[in-house]
Amino acid sequence: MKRNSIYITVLTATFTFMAACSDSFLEEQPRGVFSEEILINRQGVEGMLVGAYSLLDGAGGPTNDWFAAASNWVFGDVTSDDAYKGTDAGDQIEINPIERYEPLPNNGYFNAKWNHQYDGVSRSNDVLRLIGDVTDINENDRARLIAEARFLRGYYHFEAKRMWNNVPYIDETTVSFSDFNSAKVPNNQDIWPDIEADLMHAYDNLPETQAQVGRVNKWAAGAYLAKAYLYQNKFNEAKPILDNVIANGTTSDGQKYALNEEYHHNFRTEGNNSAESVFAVQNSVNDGGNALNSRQGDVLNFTYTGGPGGCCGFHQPSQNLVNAFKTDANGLPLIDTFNDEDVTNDQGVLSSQPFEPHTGNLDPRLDWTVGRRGIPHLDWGPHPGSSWIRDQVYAGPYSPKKNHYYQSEEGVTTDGSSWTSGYIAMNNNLMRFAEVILMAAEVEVEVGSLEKAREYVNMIRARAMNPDGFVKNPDGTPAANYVIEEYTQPWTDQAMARKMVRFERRLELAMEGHRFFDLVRWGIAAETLNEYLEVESTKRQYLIGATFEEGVNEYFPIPEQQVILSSSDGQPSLTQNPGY
Amino acid sequence: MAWLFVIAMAVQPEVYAQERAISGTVTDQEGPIPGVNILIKGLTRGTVTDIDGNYTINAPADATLIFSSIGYTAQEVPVNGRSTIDVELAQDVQALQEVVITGYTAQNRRDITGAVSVVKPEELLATPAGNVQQQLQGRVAGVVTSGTGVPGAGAKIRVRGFGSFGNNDPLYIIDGVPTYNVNNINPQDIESMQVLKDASAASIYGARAANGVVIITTKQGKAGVPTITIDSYYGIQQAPEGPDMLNPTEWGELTWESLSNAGQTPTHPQYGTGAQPRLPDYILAGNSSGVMEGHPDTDPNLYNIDYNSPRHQIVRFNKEGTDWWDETFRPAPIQSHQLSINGGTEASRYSVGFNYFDQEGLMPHTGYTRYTVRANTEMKVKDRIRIGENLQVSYNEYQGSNSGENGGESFVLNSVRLMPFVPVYDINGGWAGTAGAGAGTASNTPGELFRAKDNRRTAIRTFGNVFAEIDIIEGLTARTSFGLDYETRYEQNYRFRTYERAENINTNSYTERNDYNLNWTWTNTLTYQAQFGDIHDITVLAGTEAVKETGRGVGGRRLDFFTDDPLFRVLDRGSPVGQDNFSYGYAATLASLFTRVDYSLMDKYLVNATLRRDGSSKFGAESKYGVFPAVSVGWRVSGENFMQGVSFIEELKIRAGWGQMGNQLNVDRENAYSFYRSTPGNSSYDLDGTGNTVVQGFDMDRIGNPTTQWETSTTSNIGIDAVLFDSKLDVAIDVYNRVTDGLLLRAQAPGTLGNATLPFVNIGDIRNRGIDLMMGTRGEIGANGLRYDVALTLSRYVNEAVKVGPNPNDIIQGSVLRNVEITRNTAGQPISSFYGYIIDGFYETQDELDAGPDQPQKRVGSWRIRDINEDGEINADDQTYIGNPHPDLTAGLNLTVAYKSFDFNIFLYSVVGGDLYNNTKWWTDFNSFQGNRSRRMLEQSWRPGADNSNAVLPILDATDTYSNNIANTYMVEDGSYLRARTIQLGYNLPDAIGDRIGLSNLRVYVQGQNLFTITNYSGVDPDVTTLGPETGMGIDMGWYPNPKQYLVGLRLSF
Repeated sequence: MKRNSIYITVLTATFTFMAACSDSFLEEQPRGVFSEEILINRQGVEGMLVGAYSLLDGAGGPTNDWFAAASNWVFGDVTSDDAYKGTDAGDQIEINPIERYEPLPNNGYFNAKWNHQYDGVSRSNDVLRLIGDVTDINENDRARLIAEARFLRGYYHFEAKRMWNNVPYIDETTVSFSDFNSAKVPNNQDIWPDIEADLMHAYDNLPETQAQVGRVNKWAAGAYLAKAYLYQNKFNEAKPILDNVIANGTTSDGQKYALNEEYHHNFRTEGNNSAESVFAVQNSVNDGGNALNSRQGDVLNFTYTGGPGGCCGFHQPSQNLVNAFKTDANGLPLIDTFNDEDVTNDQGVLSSQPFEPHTGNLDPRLDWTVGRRGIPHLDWGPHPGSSWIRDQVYAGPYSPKKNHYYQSEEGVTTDGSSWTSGYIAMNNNLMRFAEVILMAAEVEVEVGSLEKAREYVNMIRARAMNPDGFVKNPDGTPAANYVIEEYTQPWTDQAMARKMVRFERRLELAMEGHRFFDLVRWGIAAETLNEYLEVESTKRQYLIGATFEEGVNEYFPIPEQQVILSSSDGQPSLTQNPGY
Repeated sequence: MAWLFVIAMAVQPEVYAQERAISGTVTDQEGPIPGVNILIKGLTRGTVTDIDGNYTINAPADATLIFSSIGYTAQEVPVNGRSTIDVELAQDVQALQEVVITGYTAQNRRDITGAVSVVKPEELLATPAGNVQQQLQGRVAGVVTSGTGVPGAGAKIRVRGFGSFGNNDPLYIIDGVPTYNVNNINPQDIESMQVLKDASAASIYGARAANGVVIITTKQGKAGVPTITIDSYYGIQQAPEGPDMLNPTEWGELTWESLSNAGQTPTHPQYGTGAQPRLPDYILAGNSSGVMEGHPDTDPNLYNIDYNSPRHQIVRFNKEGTDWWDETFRPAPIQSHQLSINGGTEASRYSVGFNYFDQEGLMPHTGYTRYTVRANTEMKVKDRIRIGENLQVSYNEYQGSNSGENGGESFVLNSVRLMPFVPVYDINGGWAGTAGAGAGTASNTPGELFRAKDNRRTAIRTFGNVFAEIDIIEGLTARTSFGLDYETRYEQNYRFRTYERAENINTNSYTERNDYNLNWTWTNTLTYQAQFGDIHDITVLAGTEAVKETGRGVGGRRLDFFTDDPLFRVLDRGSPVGQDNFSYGYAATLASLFTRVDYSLMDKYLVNATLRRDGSSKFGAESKYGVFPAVSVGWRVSGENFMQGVSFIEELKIRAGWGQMGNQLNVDRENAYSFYRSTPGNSSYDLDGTGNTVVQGFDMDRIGNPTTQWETSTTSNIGIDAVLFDSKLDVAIDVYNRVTDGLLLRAQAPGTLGNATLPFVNIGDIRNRGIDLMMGTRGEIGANGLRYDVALTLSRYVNEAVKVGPNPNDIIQGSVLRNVEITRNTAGQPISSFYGYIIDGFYETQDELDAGPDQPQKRVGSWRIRDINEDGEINADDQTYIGNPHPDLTAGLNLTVAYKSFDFNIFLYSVVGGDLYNNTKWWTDFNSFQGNRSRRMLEQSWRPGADNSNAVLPILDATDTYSNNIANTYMVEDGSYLRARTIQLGYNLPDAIGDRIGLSNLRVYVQGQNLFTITNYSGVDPDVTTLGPETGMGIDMGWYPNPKQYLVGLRLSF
C-alpha cells in the first residue's frame, strides 16, 4: 500500500494545484491594444483627436467604401438636378430609390451615413471626455484640443442635421459606455443651437494658424459657423463672420485665403491645401492603411473603362447640369432658359462613329466639371464618349471629372493596394474660399447689399475667366467655345440677384456635393426638382414617374435600424421623419 | 511523441521455455471465424485465427488462452496440457453490447441513458471526401450537414437545430483532445465515432458541449499478428450541369426587347443601333468596341498587351457563344491511398497509418493534397501502469485560387454571368475579357484560375496526446493525458495586373502570411468502478482539465513587382512604397472540474449524473465560472420479468434525461475588456497633408462587458432503444426539447453610442424541438445467402427564436446582399427567415394597374406586389416572412444487399421542405449587373398580348430597377431534394482463394457519388441549406457545387 499512498499523494497534489491556480490561469489580456488609462495624457488625447479627424474622409469607422463619402455625391448630387447615379441599373441598386425620391427607411446608405456621423461625434467626445484628466499638457494645447474636438463634433452633427433634420445631439456627457440606453437620445429637439455653440467655441478659441495644415483653424471654424447660420437664414449673424473670414482669413499654414488663379487647381492633388482650401479632407495613399485614407468615397466615380480610375462610371452629370453652363453672347448664364435646348451630346453615338461636340457658348468651368466626348480629359486624351460609359442608354453620355487624376500621377497619387487605382490622394474640398465668397454674396443679397453681392460673384467669375485656366487642345487652343464675362450691369432686383448668386453657386460648386442641400435650404427643392424630373425623364426613362414630394423629400428617412435600436421597452426614442 | 512509438516497436516478444505448440479451430454456429484474437493470459503474446479459423500458438502447458473477437463473448480456456484446442464462441446477441467511448469514460452501449449516436467508420468511408464532416451527411439522426465541392473543404455540421446566432459548430474530442477543426484529420484513421446529442450525454464537456460533442477515437493497436491493410481509391469528379444561359444572338434579342419596352431606341456598344441587334466581328480592337472586319484597329500588327506601352488588344466577338461553365469546370481526379499496420502483444500494441489524399478542384489549377502519418501506441510498463500516445501529423496543401469557396461573387457566379460573346482568348492567345464596351464586369474565370495557379496555402498540423494510467487499487484507475494541437499555416498569394478587363488592376502585389495556433489540454481523471453482487454496478469519475489556446500570426504585402515570374515572389523584391505588414496574437484558457456517476441497479434501472464547473478566460471576473449539471435515467423494460414472455423484444430501454450545457464559441476572447486601437486605416490621418503618410491616432475599439455569461442550453430528452425480432431490427427514437437561454448576441446600441465593437451579451433565447429516429434491419432473404442491411435515419427539428433582444420588436439583420436585405431574425420566427415581398402574379391590364396600390415603377406587366397592410401603397411595411431554410425533415437511407462475394450499397439522402433563396437569379434574371441572362428571363418574362400562363418574371424593361431591389417570393424556392450520395458495387475475394495467395481480405469496388438528384430547385446544387452565416443561411449565392464522382477502390489486408 505504500506505493498507493504515493499515487494518492501525487493525485491529490495535482487536483489541488489545478483548482488553486485557475484564477490566474484564467486571466488572458488582449494583445496589441490600449487601455484607456494608457491614453490619458497629452499624446493619448492628441491621438484620439487624430482619430476624430480620420473620419472626415467618410471611411474607417463603421463604414468603408462610399456610403458616407466625404463628397456627399449620393446625398448631395444624385438627389439633385446635377447628377445621376450613373453606371448601370443594377450596380449599387439602393441608390436608385434615393434618386427617385422613394427612399425606404431600411436603405443601407442611410444607416451607414448615420453611423459614420455619430462615430465622428463619439470620437470627438472621447477627447473632450478624457482631456479633463490629462495633466501633462499646457493650457494652450488643452484649449486648442478642446476647440478642435468641438469643431469636429459640430461638423459631424451638421452633416446629420442637414441629412435628417430631426437628429439627436450627443455631447461628451450624454453617453455612458456601461449603459447603452444612455445613447437612446430622442430626436425631438432642434440641435442647431448645439451645433452653433460648438462651432462658435471653435471660432473663438482656435488659433489662426496651426502646426499642421490638416488641422482646423479659427477661420475654417468661422466659415462653418456662417454656413450653419445660412442654413437657418440667420444672415445678420453670418455677415460679420464672413466679412472677417474674407478680410483676415488664412489657411492653417498661414496662406492668406485667395481664389486659386486657375479654377482647376482645386481639383488636382498638387492643389491640395492651396490658398483656396479653407477646410479639406487630407487624403493619403500608400501609407500602410490599405487605401482607407484615400479619397475612397469617390472610388466608383471614374470612367468605366480606359481613362482614369477604371471603375465604375457612377456620379454621371445630368444633361440639366451641362446645359446650365451655356452662356449667352455676353458670357453670362441663361438663368431661366438654359434648359430649353440641350448642349449637343453623343447620346446614342458609338465611339467608333464620328461626333462633333457642341459649338455654342460655354462657361469654361463645364469642362473641368464634366467629362464629355471630344474634350481632352486631363492628360488621358480626348474623352471617347460611349466607350468610357458603362451604360449610356441608362445614364447618359457624361462622366464626372472633378475627382479625376492625371495619367502621369498613376502610382504616385493613386494607391496600388486595392482592386482599382481610383483610391487617390486628392483632398476633398469640404470648404473652398470660393464657397465662402458665395455665402457672403448670398448674405449680401438677403441683407440688401446687391452690389456687394455682385462684386463677390464677379470675383468668382473673374477667376473662371482666366484663359490660362481653360481646357485646351494639344495645340493650345481652347477645347470648346468658352465665352464668359462678369456681371457688368448693376444689380437692382433682389429676387433676380438671389437667382444669379444661386446660379453662380451651382456652376462653381457643381458635382461637389452641395446642390441638394442648397435647394432644400433655399426652400425651392420641390419646384426645382419636379421641373427637372419632368424634362430629364424624357432622357432618362428610369426617372419616369418619380416625383419630389414637398414636405417629405427635403429630408431623408431616419434609418429604420436606428429607430429600432433606439427602443427601450418597445418604445423607440427616435421618431421617423414625416412621410416615411 | 514519436519516441514512444519507436520504443513500442522495439519491444521484443518474451521468450519462455517449456512451451508447446497448440493449434485448433475457432468456430461459431455457422462455421469458422477468422481474425479471432488469442492471448495467453498473463503474458503479452498472442495470435489470431486465419481465414479458416485455424490458429497455432506456443504456450506453456499450464497457461490459459483467451479467445476474443468483436461480436462474440470472450472465452477463457485452460490449456491443461492439450495440444489441440477447438473452441466454439457464442455470438454476442446483444447488438447494443459494444463498448463506446463517451465523456471521459467507456460505456457499454446498452447502458447509455443519453442521446448518443454511434457512427460506423465504414459508413463514413463510403463517402470519398477529405474530411469526416462531409462524410457525416445523413448518417446520424439529428445531424444536419451542408457542404460544397471545394477540394479539401469541410462541411457545416449542426446537431439538433441551431442553438445560437453565432457559431454552432460541435466540439470534437479526438483521442481525448478537444478541437473544433477536423478538416485535416484523416478519416481513414477513425476507429469509432460517437455523436453526443443531448445534455445527459454531453454536458460532461460543460461550456463547450451545447452544440453537441463528437467523440472520435483513432485506430488503436490490437494484440496479435501484425496486419497490413492497404486501402485505395481513385476517381473522377465532375461538376453538375450549369444553368441554362443565353447565346449571343438571344442575348441581343433580350436586350433589344428590354430597351424597346422601356421606350428607348435600342442601342448597345456591341450590337449597334437599329431595329435589330447585329453581331459585330470584334468586341474590342484597340479603343474601338463592337467593330466589323476591316476596321483599321483590327489590324493584328497593332496588337499589344504589354503593360508598359499603350495597349491595343484585339478580341473577336464569339458569335456561337462561349459556354463559360464548361470553360470553368473540368473533370478532376480524386484519390486516397492508405497503408495501415496494426499489431502488438498484450503488453505493447501499435497502430500506424500513412495516407495520401489528393483532390483536384473542379476548376483548373486548384486542388488539395494531404499527407498524414498516424502512430498510436500503448504499453503496459508495470503491472498496474500503462502509458501510450496517439499522434497524427499532417501536411496539407491547397493549390491555386481560393475564390469560389465562400459563395458570394466567386468564380462560380462569374462563370454564369460572363457575357456569352466574350471568347476565352483574344486573337493572340491573351486572355479576353470585359474590356470591350458593354461586356459587363465579370472576370475571365479560366484566366484568373491560371494566374492564381502558383498561390499556395499550406498547413502542418501535429495533433495527439500522451497518457498514463495507473490502477491504484482494484477498480480505481487514475489517468492523466496531455494533448497538443499545433498547427502552422503559410499562405502565398500573388495578384496579377490585368489588361483584359473593363476595370483593370494596374498594380501587381504579393502577400505572404504565416500563423500558428498552439492548444494544449491537460486532463486528469480518477475512475472508480465496482460491482456489488449482481445488484449494484457503479462507476464514479472525477476529473480536472485545463485548456490553453494561443496563437500568433504575421504577414506582409508589397506592390509593384518588376516581373511576374514566380521566382521573384519574395516580399522585398516589391516596391517599399505602400508596403503593409501586420502581426497579432491571442490566448484563451479554460479550467474545469467535473464528475460523473453511472449507477445500474439489477441491470434494469440506470442512473447517470454529471456535473461540470468550467472557468473561462473569455468571461469577466463577475461570471468567470459556469456550472453545468445533467441527470438521466434509464429503465430496461426488457429486463423485467413481465416482459420475458414477449419473445419478439430482445432489448427495450426507455431513457429520459435533463441537463444543461454551455457554449462559449460566440464570445470573443477579449469580450470582457474595453480598449482603444491604433491602425493606419481606421484611426490615423494625414494631418501634415503629405498625401502619403499618416499621423498615428487612436479610436475606441471595444467596449467590454464583465458580466457576460455562457449561453446555456437546457435539453430534455426522452428516448427508446429497442432490439427486436432476433436482432433483425434496431430502433432508437429520441424526442427532445432544447432551449438556449442567455443567447450570446453582440449587444446592439444605436449609432449615437459610437462605433466601438460592442461586447457579446446574453439577450436571446432560441428553442429547438425535434425528433430523431434511427432504424436498422438486417437479415437474410430465403436460404440462398442473400443478405440485406437497411439503415434509416430521420431527423426533424423545429427552430424558433424566442427572443432576440430586450424589445419584442427587435430584429437581427441577417444577410444583406448587394444592398438587398434577405434574412431577418426576430422573436417568433425560425432563425434566418427570408423577409421580403409577396408577388401575386402580374398587372395584366391598365385597369388593374390603375386600381392597384402605389407600387414603385409599376406598369402593365409588372409584378403585383401584395399590399399586406392594405394602405394603398407598396412600401417597407408590406414586407413579411416569406420562407426559411429549415427543412421539415432530413433523411438518410442506407441499403446494402450482399450475395455470395458481391455486395451492393446505395445511400440516399433527402431534405424535405426547406426553402432556399436562389440569389443567383438576382444576377441572371434581372437588370442587375451587365452580364449573361438566364433562359428563364428570355422565355418566362411577361409579354404584352402573349400567353403569360408560364410567366414568372415581370415585363422586360431595361429601366426596371425595382424588381431586383426587393427580396421577394420569386427568389424563394422549395429546396427539397433526394440525392443518391453513394452507389457502390463491391466484390470480396472468397476466403479460399485469398488464403491461397496469402491475403486475409481483398475487396474491389466501383462507386458513384451524387449520381442523381431529384429536385424542383432551379439552382445548380440544392445542398446549400445551411451554408452561410447562421443569421443568413439558405441563400444560394453560387456556391461551389458538389461534384459527381466515379470511383474504383481496392482494399486488401494480409
